[in-house]
Amino acid sequence: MIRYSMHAFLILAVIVLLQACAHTGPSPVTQDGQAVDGQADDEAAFPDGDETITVYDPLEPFNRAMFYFNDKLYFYALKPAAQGYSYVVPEPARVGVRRFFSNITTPVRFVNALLQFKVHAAGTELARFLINSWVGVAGLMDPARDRWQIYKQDEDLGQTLGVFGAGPGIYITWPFLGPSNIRDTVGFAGDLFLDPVNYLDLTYLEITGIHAYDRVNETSLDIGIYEEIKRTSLDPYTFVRNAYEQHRRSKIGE
Amino acid sequence: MMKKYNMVLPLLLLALFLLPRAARAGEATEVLRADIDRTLSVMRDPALQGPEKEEERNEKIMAIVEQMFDFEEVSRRSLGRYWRARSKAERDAFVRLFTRLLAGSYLNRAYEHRNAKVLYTGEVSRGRKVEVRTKVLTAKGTEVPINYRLMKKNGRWRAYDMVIEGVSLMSTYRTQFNQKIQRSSYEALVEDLEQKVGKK
Repeated sequence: MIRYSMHAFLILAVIVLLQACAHTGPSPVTQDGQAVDGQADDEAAFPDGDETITVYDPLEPFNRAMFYFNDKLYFYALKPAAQGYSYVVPEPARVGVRRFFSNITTPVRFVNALLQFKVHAAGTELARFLINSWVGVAGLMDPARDRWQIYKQDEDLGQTLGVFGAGPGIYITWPFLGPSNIRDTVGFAGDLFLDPVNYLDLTYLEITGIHAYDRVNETSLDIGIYEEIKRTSLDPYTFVRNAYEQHRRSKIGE
Repeated sequence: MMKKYNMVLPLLLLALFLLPRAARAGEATEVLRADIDRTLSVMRDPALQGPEKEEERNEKIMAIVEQMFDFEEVSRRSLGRYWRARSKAERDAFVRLFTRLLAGSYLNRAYEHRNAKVLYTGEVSRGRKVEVRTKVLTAKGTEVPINYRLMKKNGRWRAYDMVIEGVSLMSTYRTQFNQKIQRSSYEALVEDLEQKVGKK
């Protein structure tokens, strides 16, 4: 697993560097304006300025195909699996599993907080890890949050790269993984090295199985969100693309 | 040395007078907090639980939400530059339609999280606009930052945008509405919305 992702990481690192070089100029806008999400409408913009979102999406036909694939994957595999699972496992237990996985991926948030010189955030993550691993019974509970008001600091390598000036690059919808862009894909690959699950002495298939289980558990707690997005948006693909970009920008700006 | 002390005392007193003002949450936060508290108490009302009470519950919630949000402002901002070209009747119809779409989706989501805890983490003001920042601690082990953007109109603070996890709702709708109008027409947009609302 590690060696596998090492190769992917190096290849993607080169791509992101090329992207970063190519993106020092103004943001790309396609001629027909189709990839421009949102208009510069100054009377509508809060002066925070995150309203004008331009997403560079030259792979749109490919991305839409992948979006379609993920949509089917959700309705025909992920959702039924999550529903069956939640029928057997009660919600409090599933919340415990969610917290357990969140706790063991503390290294991802801790290291990336440090890389961004967010010493306080890194300390917070360390404190949460110690408290929740001990008082919270191996991270199944979250007393750090519930009793001591110490909140999770959501940091990842995609954000770290963004803080250091890497642009998003082109927008990509990955099969299975969903919306991303060049920067966040490199970040994702890099963060695999900080996820302790990938260091377990198991086969590639077994490690994939653990990640899949985490995913099914997450889905079981979030059933209905994607359905709602589909139901209330005119074009779910455009909605997800725009929301993803806004979300990542706000994370990087934090 | 003595001279310095003489300066400290008045400054300390001054600080004490200023402190309550600085520490007090903003007016917009207070208005929003009251609206959210009222909404949550309706959602948690033991007499209004269960699917058979959904209609009655939603009616009561909508009465609060219609005061809390300025749906005309929401619609105007979502249509952006296309708002100006519409007649008064068209605008009113659009506001009603869009309100139904938003209510239909967000009431159910909010109801699911009726037992969440809402923390008010700050208020930022820019001119006539204010952003009230909250963090919602869900019962499902997640923390969702939700910021409300408000404007004071006719003496009352009302929200015109919600920013959930950094995603401005109005911005996502504006993107989609613009795309639809550019590729087809305003009439086609209305038709789509009607279909969305009808599907429920």
